[in-house]
Amino acid sequence: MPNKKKIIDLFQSKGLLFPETEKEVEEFELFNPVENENPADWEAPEQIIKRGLQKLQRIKSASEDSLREEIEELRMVARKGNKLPQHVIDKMKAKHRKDDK
Amino acid sequence: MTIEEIENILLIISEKSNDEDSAVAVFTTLYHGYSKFLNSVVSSVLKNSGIYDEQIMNTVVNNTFYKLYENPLIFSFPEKAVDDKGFKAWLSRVAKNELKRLLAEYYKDTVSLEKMSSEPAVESDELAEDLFANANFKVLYEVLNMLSERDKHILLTLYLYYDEGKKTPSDVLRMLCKMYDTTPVNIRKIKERSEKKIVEYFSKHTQLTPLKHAK
Repeated sequence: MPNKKKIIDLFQSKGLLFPETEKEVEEFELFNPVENENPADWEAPEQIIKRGLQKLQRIKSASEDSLREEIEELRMVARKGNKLPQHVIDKMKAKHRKDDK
Repeated sequence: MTIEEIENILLIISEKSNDEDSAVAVFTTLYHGYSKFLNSVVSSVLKNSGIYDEQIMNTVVNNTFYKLYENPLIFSFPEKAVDDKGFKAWLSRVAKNELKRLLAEYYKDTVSLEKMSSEPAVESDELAEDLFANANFKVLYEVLNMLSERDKHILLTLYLYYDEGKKTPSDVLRMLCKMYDTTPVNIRKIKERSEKKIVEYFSKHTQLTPLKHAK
């Protein structure tokens, strides 16, 4: 075993990426209890066979969500003709600070 | 499920051209046994990569199980296997490759993600072994939450495509540039800055000293 490991190996070994070995599966299951919610085809798994391979329709990034939320907040402020509330200013400043670090 | 049960199921599925009803019946059993695990894995990775939504998760899980149905005997347990974790790890690897293939297909205006380019590898910094052994899940989460959402997503997406000893496909960088409206140079800077923060965080929050960054 090499005496040095990479940061990615650490994330992999703790199950933060796709677990690819038995040990990584064990770590993943230790910290990620299986959800009770049933997967999409729980009632009729044979639909997967009928459906075949599927394609991605669209990818919505989390940053897109965050941006949309900010735009909506600013729109509300603009509609009312008010000054920007402090929590919106603080949030924008904090985000910029975090991204600039 | 036991190793024997899984092996029997895969064998019955492989005979689907002779007995489709039995193949579908055991496929259902297998899906009920492992879809929650796979959902949990895919959902966790997508959330960490900042591209989670149900449509992506369902597509990856759908395609993974479909590929298993189409080619069930591609998996076999190693001789010394004692439980089904090897099967779970294999399912997870299939799902990982499927996610990468789907993303490549989605961003199809870029060339194949499998094609290796002359881009230098996006390497990962090294940590001392004792620190590696002592880092726990909680600290890793703290470290990730310290990064901005964008930086966390970029770092974990680069990790998704990381392949020891291989160069980073330039298409992955282009895909990230498109997703985050930035440049390859900036993606590399974000990755370097994020790993530097991780190493610094570990050095501050443990008694152990990280090694110097590997270039």
